[in-house]
Amino acid sequence: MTRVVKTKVEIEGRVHEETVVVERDEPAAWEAGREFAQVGKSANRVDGRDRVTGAAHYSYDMHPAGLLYAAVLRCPHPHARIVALDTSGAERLPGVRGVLSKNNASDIPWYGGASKLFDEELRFAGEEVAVVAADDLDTARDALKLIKVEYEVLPALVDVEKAAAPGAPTIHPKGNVLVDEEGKRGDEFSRGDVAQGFREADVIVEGTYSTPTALHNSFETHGCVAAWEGDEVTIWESTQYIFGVRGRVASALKIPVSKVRVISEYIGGGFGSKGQTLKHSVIAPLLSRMTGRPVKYMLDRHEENLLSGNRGQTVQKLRVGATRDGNLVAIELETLCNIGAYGTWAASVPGPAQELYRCPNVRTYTLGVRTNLGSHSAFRAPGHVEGTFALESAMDELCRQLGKDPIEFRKKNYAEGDQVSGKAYTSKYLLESYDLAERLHADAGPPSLEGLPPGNWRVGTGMGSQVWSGGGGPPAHALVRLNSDGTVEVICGTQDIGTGIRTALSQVAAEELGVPLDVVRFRLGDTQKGPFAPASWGSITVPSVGPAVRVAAEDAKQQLMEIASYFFEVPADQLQIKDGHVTVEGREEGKRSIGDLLSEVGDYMIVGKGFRGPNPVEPLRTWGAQIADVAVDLETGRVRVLRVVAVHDVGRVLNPKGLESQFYGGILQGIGMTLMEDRVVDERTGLVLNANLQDYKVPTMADSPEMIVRAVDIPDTAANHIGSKGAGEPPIIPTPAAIANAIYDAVGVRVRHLPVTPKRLLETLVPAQLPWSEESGS
Amino acid sequence: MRPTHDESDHTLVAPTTSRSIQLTVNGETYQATVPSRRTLLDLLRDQLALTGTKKVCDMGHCGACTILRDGKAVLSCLTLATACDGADIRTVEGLSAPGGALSPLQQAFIDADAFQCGFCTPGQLMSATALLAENPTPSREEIRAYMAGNLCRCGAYSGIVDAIERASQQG
Amino acid sequence: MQNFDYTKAGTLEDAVSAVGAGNGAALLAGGTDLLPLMKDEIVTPHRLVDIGGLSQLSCIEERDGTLHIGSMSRLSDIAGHPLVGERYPALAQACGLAATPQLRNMSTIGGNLLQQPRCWYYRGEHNCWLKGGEVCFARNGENEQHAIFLNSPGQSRCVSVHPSDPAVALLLFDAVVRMQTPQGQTEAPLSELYEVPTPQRRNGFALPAGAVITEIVLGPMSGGRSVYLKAMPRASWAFALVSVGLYLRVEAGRIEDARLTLGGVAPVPLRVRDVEAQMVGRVATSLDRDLLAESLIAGATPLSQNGYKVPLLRGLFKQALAQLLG
Repeated sequence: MTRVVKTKVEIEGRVHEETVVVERDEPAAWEAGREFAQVGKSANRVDGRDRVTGAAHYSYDMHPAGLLYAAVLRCPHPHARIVALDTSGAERLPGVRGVLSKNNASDIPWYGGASKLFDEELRFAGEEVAVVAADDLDTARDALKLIKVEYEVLPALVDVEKAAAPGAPTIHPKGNVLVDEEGKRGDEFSRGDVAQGFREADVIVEGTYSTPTALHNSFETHGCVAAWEGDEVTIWESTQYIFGVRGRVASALKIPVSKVRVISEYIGGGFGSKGQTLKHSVIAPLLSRMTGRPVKYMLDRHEENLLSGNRGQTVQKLRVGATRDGNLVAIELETLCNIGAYGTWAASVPGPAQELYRCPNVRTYTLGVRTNLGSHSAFRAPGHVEGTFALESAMDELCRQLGKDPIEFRKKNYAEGDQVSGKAYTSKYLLESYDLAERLHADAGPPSLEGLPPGNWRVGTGMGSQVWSGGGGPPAHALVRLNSDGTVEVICGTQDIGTGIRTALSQVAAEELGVPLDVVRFRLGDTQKGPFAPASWGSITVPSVGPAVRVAAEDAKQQLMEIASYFFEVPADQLQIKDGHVTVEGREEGKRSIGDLLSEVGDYMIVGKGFRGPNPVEPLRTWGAQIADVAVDLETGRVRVLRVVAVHDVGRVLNPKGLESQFYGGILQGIGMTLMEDRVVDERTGLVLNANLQDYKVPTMADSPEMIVRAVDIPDTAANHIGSKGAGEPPIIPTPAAIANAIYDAVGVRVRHLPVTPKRLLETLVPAQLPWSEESGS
Repeated sequence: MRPTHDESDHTLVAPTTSRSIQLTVNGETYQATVPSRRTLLDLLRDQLALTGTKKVCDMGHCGACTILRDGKAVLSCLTLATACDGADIRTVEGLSAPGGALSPLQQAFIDADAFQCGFCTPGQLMSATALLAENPTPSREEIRAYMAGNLCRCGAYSGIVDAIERASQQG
Repeated sequence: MQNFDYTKAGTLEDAVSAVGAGNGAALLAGGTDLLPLMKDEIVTPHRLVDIGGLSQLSCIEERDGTLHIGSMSRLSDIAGHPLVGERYPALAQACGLAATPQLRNMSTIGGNLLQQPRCWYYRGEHNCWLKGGEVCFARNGENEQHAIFLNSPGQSRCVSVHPSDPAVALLLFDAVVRMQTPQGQTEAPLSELYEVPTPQRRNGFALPAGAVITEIVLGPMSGGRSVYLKAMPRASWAFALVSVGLYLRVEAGRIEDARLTLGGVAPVPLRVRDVEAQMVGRVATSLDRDLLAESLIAGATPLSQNGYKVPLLRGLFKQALAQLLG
């Protein structure tokens, strides 16, 4: 029976209330220890063949007839006002079919009303001035040179501390820093009495930690192809949230959402940056409508790295106090987050300080600061990677000062329940994670030094732990169709951004239906076909969409059994289905396939409906521990990660093979952020210097270490009825801290600023010999 | 290529100079008229509808557009189409027949889950194909060195090394 | 990328006369540096002369004890050539550590030696001095990758570093560059090819007008050993933060010949003759390596952010010594 309920949903540290439709009672949770046919078995990607033959069509690959290509004139200044803009030269160039700018575009509010689709005031270098659609990309780019713009250059701020300072020029209509509803600067959290806590502390570790602005560099850039047919527009978009794009485009164009179809069948990575809707998603349909032809508007790599989001730099002042016997008594963390020109939220940097350990006295203060740079966005566990780096570095320092074993020290400060809400967690297997990680690390023996270049290498080991959300919640819906040819289609408006959702959730459907995996076809990424599913972010897709798929499959199976009951002449509840064949329970003979049964009833198509039920009131968290072995060359400051052991509690594992890949990927991105990734900006000109894949370094295959990854794999039956939590983000979170702590173990220097480049390490290793070096900060 | 001039008094260079070329792609002969500034990557993707080869950086930094030119792994984004008159090109679409059996390397990529988003995969496969042609039994270190020009932002490296190793053992 | 005319040179003479005629013509060899520069419109030739078909320029062969490397030889061919590996290991290593396998399959040695700096101001939007502007933005800006030698305003207006790996190795081996010019054949030591950029000639190459490099000739380096070490910001695929080429010939325990070259530290690849002189004649086992290393870095004048290159150079030099002397 359909009803409506309210429930709280937490995504990446931010909680909101949802009003959702519950279609009927949910099935009982798959209990611990249950025997499965599909779930928990390693499966190859169901779309593997398309991915290795080039047959997987990404939005970038779409090429409708008559396609035009868009190129963009961008503001060359970090802060400027357009005084005069003349696009007539571009319009006259043969091959140019349309030009859109503030001169002819209607006023469409953008950035929460702080700006417009084409605004006169531009707040970062790279912001859109005019967009040209032409027969080919070269012509479109030629045309940009014929556009005349006169700018009034305005004061710009790119340094987060200067932008937050009193008296700084105002660069945003709502001010340079985030304020709460009452107009108070920043976000404050407090429990207990920190001052008293520090008085009780025997040992206090204090320092300023910083993390760089990291660029997602999804391999498929942001962009779309837009084409109109009558009054309906189709947008092939590289997005983590097709329904988000649909809503934004419909409101911008003032047309009903049903007139906007967003398709995203394959996505070349997102890592959080594609949860937002950027301007191109609206501009491409506008240009397409203007020219009467389809328009492809893909960012190039440089543009991608200027404006599609980033993990904003943080500066964290952290103080942690413990008693001599190793009890944490106070944590205080003040954080500045660079949120770029139009950021409206700050990442949950203080989350680990508030929750990871038992500590009676905690105070955190987080200030989001606007700068004249591209806005930040979610980036794989936003905030927690940064916050965990600082907190776990300090924990390591405390261990050293107190002479405690790192794991014992962490176990001693284990938090039984959630100290923020005062409630118990739905599940917490952090102790199991510590134990398994420690055992796997010990079993692996000393790491191999093979492949290291010549050098004076010192080896060290370090660890970090993590807490993260990843529970998801409603609304999320799915359909399961049983066709008269015996095939199964799961239809759902979710996205597979590379995580293997198609495969894992096909396993859920196959499991519930009792069919082999290869008859299931998972259709996703199309707003016109799939029922609503949330954005693919926050490690929420499995725990949000998975239960909906299971319910839809269960519904379809029930209908099938009711149909089969006519032919078997027994009540439906006496029938069973296995390997796609229905029999009377307990019998092998007389089995009939799904196709066989359905083709006898007029090629009937069964449609099962599924939904994600409301969340439990208890907070849900994922947990984990990682141990890193590194080698550091004392003479050249080079660091190589030799091995990472990662164990996380992410609930029930659906597809171990896919999960391992997620873990590998998270670790690799963590290595990048720790050792090499750093957006560089010239402070005088406000321009980004390394918005490309040459100067902005991401790990290569040669940087990839040995990785031993495991899930605790105990279902969280309180979380949802499939027992799974999210797994995409947890493995990046403790990686920087584990590596930094391993570097300390290897060479005895504490690096508090990421990335740990040869420059940073040498400045820290040999500052006494380098009178000219920068202050190392540690 | 990124016009950020405050003002521009550019006059455009002479009209497009195009020429007709003939090249072999995956065993098929193609005739195409290409402007001199068109890259092989854009020719493949936009003119020949072979979109398996991906554009990621378009500057030679990432390896995603790797194809085989006369058997050598090269970057199609830094190759002018017009200079490919008479060239023999192989792309990911040519590793196996449509609907036919996958190459051992392709199958090994699936078995080892050697991709996540899959956008770098065509380039990875082409480099790996060249590697195994040059060195049918590479060590893991040799694989890591040879493949270092194919970046993968999802971090599927571990599976890629496994896949190439498996394929080499089968080949 | 701006439009251009494309011609394929049928003969070397065609190529020479085409570039010699001016008209904004540029040679297209491997294209791995030229195309990115053209895509960013840092260089805007009106005409490309493709010398990819001149197969006589891609031979690697020994003649009279010297090694002749055709200018169109690919870095991968040089890195894998048995004679190079045997006699000039530093060159094989330098070619093998450059760029990526695909780029090494495309890049020619001639083009590699003539590549433009990788300075992010030069390659990006800033209208820097090297591009014809007024200011070297790196000098007081983000200069962690920049020069620690020859970088004072009096020495060089531009503080970028020359990026070639093979150049640093070739300097060890008395490499001579042979060229075809409109006036005929000519040659010059590789060391003379590189000059700190000046207002009159900002590109850093002392190449005669209209010259096409045809081959690189290496001297017979009998008896010695060589090594090329490169420090990078990741395990692979990066330009050198610092690189060191070292050649030592030790006879009866005594260093008879020493060559030391550096990359990533100056606007041109450097040969460090004073440190070489301190090694020659010494007993190899009693070399005071610390003293040599200190002497090597003594003249360094780091900028605001690249002081780390000084200990890095010291460390890498000592590791090169350890490679050759144990």
